[in-house]
Amino acid sequence: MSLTLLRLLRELSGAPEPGDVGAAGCGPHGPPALVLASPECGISGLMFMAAALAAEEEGAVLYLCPQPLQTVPNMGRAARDPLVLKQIRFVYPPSMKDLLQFFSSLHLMSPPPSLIMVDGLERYLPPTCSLQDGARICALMLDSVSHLGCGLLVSAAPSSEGTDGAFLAVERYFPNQFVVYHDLCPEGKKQTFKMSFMSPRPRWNLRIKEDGSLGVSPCITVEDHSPNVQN
Amino acid sequence: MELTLPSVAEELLREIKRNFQETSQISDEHLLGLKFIFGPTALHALDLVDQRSVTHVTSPSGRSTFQCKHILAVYLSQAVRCCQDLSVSDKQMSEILLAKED
Repeated sequence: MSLTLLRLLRELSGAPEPGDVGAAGCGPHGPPALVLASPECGISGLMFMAAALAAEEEGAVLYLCPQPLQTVPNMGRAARDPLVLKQIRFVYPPSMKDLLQFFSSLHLMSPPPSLIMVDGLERYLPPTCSLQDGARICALMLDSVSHLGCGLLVSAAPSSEGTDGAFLAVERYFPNQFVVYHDLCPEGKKQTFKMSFMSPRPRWNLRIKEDGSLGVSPCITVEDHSPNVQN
Repeated sequence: MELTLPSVAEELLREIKRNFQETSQISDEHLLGLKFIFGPTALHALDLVDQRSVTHVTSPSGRSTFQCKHILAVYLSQAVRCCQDLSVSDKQMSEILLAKED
């Protein structure tokens, strides 16, 4: 799933992104990935755009979240071609029990999707959840996509109070993580964030514009301009 | 560094599997290797394999799972091909995957 995210960020930022995230040999979507982001950064919008990109390029996508999306971004491939939306099947398991039931029955689904997305996993992990609960849903998700041979992308807000135990397991099951966090030095009054795979250097800026649309641009650092820096 | 131990364990299990195919037993050297890497856990796992406590469950969809709480026992049972096979329907497979261990 890392590869789908990379393709999306390249497309939105209009800039090529050098390097990869160690995703070779894991299918068109790359290895399963966890997006760690607070809800206010518009991560559901990015997830939806990733779903649209994957649907257009690879076929059917399953999009799971506890409640229907209230708004969808007016940009990206879904905006250009509404038919893309027909390739995305939205499923709204209301509780952890329903989510577990869904994944434990995925082998009954035919044909299988090319990609499964779970948006807002933290909403399935209330404070009463234990480490074992987190491990159980992650193991079942990973087992299911391994059986189907499809991609998996999960988003979650990491700092929900009281879910530390369950979340420790979630982070352990998904070593391939993509992190979105507040930009500490925002310019102007726009909501700005930094995004990167697990790496000390941010790779992209995410900006929520006044009309609610998302802007993505590559991070330019001093090192990027220095002719003496060697990779 | 994080990947070193899993790699060593996987290689050891591969060796045990190769050796078991030729001799139908686990050599003393491999038993020592198991004890060195996994400690007392290895003994419990070997006991479970001896007692054929690991069950490999499959369904027509091709989905499969193992019934045994001891993950090392599951790996060892695969290496020495010593587990019980159980075929279930796809619906039963869903129920098995959904069942919560108490």
